[in-house]
Amino acid sequence: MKNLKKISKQKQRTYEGESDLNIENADMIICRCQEVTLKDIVQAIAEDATTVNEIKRRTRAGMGLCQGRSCSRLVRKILAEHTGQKFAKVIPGTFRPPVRPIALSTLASLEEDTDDKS
Amino acid sequence: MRKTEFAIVGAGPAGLSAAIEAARAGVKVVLADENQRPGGQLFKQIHKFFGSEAHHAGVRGIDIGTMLLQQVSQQKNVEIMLDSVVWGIFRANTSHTLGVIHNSKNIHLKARKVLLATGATENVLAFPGWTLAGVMGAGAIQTLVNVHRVLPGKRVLMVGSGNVGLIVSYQLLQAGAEVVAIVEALPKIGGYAVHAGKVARTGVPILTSTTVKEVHGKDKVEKAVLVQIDKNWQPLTGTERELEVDVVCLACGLSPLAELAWITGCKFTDVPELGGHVPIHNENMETTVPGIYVAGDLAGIEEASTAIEEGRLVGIAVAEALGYLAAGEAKDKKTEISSRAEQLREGPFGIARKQAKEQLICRSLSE
Amino acid sequence: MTNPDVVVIGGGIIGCCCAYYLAKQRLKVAIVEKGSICSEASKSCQGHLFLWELPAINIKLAKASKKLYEQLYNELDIDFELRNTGSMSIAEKPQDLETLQQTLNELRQAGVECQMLSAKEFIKTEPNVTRDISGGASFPEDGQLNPLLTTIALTQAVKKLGADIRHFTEVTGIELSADKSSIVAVETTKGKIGTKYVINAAGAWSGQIGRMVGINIPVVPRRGNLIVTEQVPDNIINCQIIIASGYLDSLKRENKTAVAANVQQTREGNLLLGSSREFAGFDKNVNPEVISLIVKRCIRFFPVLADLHTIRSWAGLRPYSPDMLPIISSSPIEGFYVASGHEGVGITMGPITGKLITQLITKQQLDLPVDQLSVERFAEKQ
Ligand SMILES: Cc1cc2nc3c(=O)[nH]c(=O)nc-3n(C[C@H](O)[C@H](O)[C@H](O)COP(=O)(O)OP(=O)(O)OC[C@H]3O[C@@H](n4cnc5c(N)ncnc54)[C@H](O)[C@@H]3O)c2cc1C
Ligand SMILES: Cc1cc2nc3c(=O)[nH]c(=O)nc-3n(C[C@H](O)[C@H](O)[C@H](O)COP(=O)(O)OP(=O)(O)OC[C@H]3O[C@@H](n4cnc5c(N)ncnc54)[C@H](O)[C@@H]3O)c2cc1C
Ligand code: FES
Repeated sequence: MKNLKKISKQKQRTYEGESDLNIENADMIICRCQEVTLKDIVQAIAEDATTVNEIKRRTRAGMGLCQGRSCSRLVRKILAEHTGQKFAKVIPGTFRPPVRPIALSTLASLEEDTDDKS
Repeated sequence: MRKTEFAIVGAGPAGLSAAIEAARAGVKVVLADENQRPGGQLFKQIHKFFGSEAHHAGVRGIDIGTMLLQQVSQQKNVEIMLDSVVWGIFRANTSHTLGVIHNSKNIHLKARKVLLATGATENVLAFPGWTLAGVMGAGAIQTLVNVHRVLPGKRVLMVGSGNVGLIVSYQLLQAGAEVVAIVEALPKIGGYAVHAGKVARTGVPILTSTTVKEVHGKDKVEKAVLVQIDKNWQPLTGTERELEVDVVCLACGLSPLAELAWITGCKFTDVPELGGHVPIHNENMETTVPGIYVAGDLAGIEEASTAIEEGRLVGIAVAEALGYLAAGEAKDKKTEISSRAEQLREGPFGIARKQAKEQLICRSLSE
Repeated sequence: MTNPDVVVIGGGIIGCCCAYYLAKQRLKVAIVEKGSICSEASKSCQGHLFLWELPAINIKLAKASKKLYEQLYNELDIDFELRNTGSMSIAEKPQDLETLQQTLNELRQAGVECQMLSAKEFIKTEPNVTRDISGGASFPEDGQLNPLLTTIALTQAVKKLGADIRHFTEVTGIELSADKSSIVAVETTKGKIGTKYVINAAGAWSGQIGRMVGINIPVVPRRGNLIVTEQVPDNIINCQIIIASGYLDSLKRENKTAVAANVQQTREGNLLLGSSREFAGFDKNVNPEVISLIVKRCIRFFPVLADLHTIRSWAGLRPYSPDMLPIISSSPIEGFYVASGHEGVGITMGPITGKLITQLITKQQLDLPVDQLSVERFAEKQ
């Protein structure tokens, strides 16, 4: 079962050349965990993404090990710049636990009830 | 499941001060911090502190930390959990449950009141080459230099002339590195004149209206290209210049580290003077989620001195809410603390923060 | 803006699939979504194309849907990571193996390709599985996709076909004709939209939309938690989807809170660990006890997971219908259609649901009979 049947050739995640994005530093990495470039993000905005969450769903920026701690602010800046929203009005993506990566064994090791400690 | 009356996340100046005040009044407190020792930012601060006499001006941050630790260790009611990451916060009827990782164990800590005093996180700046080895945050460099006594490199370009950029530049110089230049995008230096003067006297150029255009290097930073910018932050072509450096230190400001606060669902507002999105809070520092308080840099980027006062305020407010302090007594204490905090918010930087804080509290009334 | 022919309420997988097949029939479609597209159950799930959930009608729907996904994969512009992964099921104890054997007998009758595996055979394909299992089964027809990209790909396509996407717009009411027999308009937080046809694809909220027109849709939210790990190599598990015995049991209603091990690996390499089922209203907060239980259960079967790290957890609301069958249906009100109640297989059944709804509206020959799926089955019981 190891060899997956690919249903068809791999396609690009976003359309290439659909809109002519002429931006400086297009290949600059914005999300280092997921290696998402400036161009990827601007492309998502061109396809109507208006929030950090939407950009994340399309490009994976913010889905990495750091969960956007490094890139979220940069993504917000790019969003503000390219949509004309005020930077301060662009809210960060949704935060969810855990706020730091934790080992699964640790998460599973839930302490039993010790109601004495009150 | 463990239980306590008052749980505090973050043992920086804000968290420690809250623990001290609440415990003095009789509240049972658990204080959790992810580091191996308490103190938060204070232990990275080997320089003499700015601020007024009453607020330890002239004392080193690390010494303020030690003093707070002594006070907290005298309180039998405070349990300090170190090496303890708070990984989540969950609503449980009228109380809150914290998920804490300690000694590779997942502990659920239920508390009637929670203070989030998680401090701040550093802003990053993106330019071509920013992901190269050698581009580092000021916080990481401070930890290397002041805590581990290791130099990050030989020739450093400092990006940002706020207090952090200036102080870390000075600390790098003292430790034996060369600071090639400090660049500042704004037309004037961001930090206090005392710190700027100290650095300038050593001959380090502080280049205003200038930013990093790009950084080059094969596997690590070898060269930085600077460019001047106009009022609208547009680069002026022809003003590029190259500097040979092996470290680019980013000191581009701090933002409240608000992840746990967002998870609680409390409401935020954006206040540029306070570093971005901050939880809306009332004069007791309580957020729009009952029982969740904030203090220190999370409630708006300020200083250790204000963090201490805000922490105290929460300690008193929580003691009052839990019935350990009578209303009158609490009120006197709160007034005293507030007036001290107010004195701290003076001067051109302080006034803006003071107004921002006042507006924040006004907003909380309408929420 | 001219009035659309059809308003689709809800921009999850179901709404987007309906919009796509309708737009292909040259109907003018508007999707009205209270949040952003794909922001509820359809973004909070695993992407398992689950072809063996009984009864037989579900299996028929699922199989037809998978074929449609294969077509969509060629039609749509974005690679939504569709793969033929197959899936495997672990039998923990000897009695689980017996139950599994019985299930497989039923599944074969319903036309599902499946195979029993001895413990030894199972361990051979999955060397990281714990040794103390009784055996298992494999389901080679199952597949996987990326639900986020699938919904986005559909949205792009319907936009190209001229549909109107109104996100951050909540439906607050539905205006009926004076005799309450047909639709006049949909009221939203951003104004009224005149239309003759409405599709209720509001997932866990579809009961609320039903109430707007006086139709009983007893769909309620059933919360599921998921835990995501860092990206890991693809040899932790070899088959991308592995479910342990206890999963089918967890689907039953009498379980107020049920937890089962369900380990899946996405194409990007993250593991998604599930699953749980709770009735907790519309509360989407992660339940910290439940996620610990899920992880414990997953480590029980794959001890190697212990050292991996989790980077995120979340909860989503499955649209649960009391008889665990979806609702794909017209209604006593002319022009009001329901596409909801898919519980844990909404991703699987998206395309066939969209296609059947389109066939109902355009009065075409149906790909499959939908009598069992009518919303009126709930009216009769009242
Ligand atoms: C270079 C530099 C120089 C400065 N100089 C001065 C000065 O001269 N005078 C002055 O008044 N101020 C100064 N400051 C500012 C001062 O250090 C901060 O304002 C102050 O430390 C804020 O206190 P705090 O308690 O809010 O946060 P912090 O001190 O940042 O403490 C927060 C603590 O919470 C912990 N934490 C965060 N999240 C979690 C979690 N999920 N689980 C467990 N623990 C967590 C952190 O690790 C940290 O230990 C300086 C700051 C810097 C960076
Ligand atoms: C943890 C978990 C794992 C799962 N794994 C799988 C799996 O592997 N395979 C599988 O096939 N299925 C899986 N599912 C099930 C699947 O996610 C759902 O069945 C499917 O997403 C339902 O789609 P939907 O479009 O009906 O609902 P949703 O995606 O919830 O969409 C409904 C939309 O309607 C909108 N809405 C509601 N009210 C209004 C209003 N008044 N106005 C405007 N918009 C409104 C909502 O905002 C929402 O976006 C899983 C579910 C969970 C929770
Ligand atoms: S840098 Fe984007 S997720 Fe870490």
